[in-house]
Amino acid sequence: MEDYQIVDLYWARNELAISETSTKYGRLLRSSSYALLASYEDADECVNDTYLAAWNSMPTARPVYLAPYLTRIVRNISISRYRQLHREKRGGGDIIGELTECIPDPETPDARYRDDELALEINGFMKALSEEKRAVFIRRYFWSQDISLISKETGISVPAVKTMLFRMRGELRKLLERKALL
Amino acid sequence: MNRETKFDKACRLYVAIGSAETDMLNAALTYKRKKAGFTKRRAVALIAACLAFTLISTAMLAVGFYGNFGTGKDEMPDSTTDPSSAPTCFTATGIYATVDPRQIDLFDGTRKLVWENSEGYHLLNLNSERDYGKLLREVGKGDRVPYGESTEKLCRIWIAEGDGSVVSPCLSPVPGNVGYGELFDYQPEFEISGDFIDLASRLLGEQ
Repeated sequence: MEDYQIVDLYWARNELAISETSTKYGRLLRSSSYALLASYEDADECVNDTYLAAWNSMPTARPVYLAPYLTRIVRNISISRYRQLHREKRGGGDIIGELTECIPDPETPDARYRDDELALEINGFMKALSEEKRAVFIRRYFWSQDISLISKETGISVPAVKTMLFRMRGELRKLLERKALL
Repeated sequence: MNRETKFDKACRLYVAIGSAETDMLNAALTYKRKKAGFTKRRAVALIAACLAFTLISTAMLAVGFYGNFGTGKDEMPDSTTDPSSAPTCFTATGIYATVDPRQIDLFDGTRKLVWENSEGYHLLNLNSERDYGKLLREVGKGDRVPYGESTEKLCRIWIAEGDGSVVSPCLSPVPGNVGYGELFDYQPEFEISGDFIDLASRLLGEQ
């Protein structure tokens, strides 16, 4: 089924939209989430939350391409879960755990502004890359693809992909330091 | 505390990457490295390689050429390369009638001496079995032509048995050098021996 047909189902409030989304993008979403959480159980939960979020966001939204739209949602849900797990893992009750409560809430206007600015700079950084480098960067850090898969699908050798990513991380680090964004 | 800060920063970075434009995200999935075609750069490289090969080949040939002519032995006239030094009996023109090589019957039972010079093909029937035997014994008896020496086809000679088999005095007498039914092309391994020239000269003079 084409993306626009699935979106139509969401807009028609037809529950078939969820199963069609799962059929077409379930694996992609699960792998994106798993790349961050390294837990199938948690990844499945995040994917289910993604379907729910998609159901709630449409009909308001009408994405042309569902894959990036849904992946953004699953990434945001997964990173929230990751933060939560990381916090729990560090253990509540210890002094460090208590002190993390002093860290400003990222939803404050200041943090929101800094995040927007960071997103803007990241976009600019990616646009400045060559088409090949950009493809590798996005495949790795947005689509969470394995390096061997990137190599296979782009026709670039594995060592070349690794070198490219290493250099791009270095460039990004310099940019972030220069702009004092992180 | 520092590790925690890094963790938070990494999470923010992860979220920020997620805000990339949709077109870029889709384009990344369709990107495939193009197979190298015949680019301008490759064309230049190819031309450079050809030039280098030509230069090296020329240099090697020049070294070989002057190197050979620098030695005393190779300064001697070479009968296979220099028409003026080839046996007079075979190079003399205007004396022996030329024949059409297609008309030479190699199966007629007559032994023959055939040679080719600048005029064309010439034929001498060998009536004496003894002379024929003497000529055959001189096959491959001349000085060996140095390996890689230029072998201009100025004077080529064949001895035909009359039953289709053909040999050349310029080739070693081995079964692989026996032709059949044709005046085969060859690259001389030996110069024609002096005895062969003497005998052939005598036979031609008697003609």
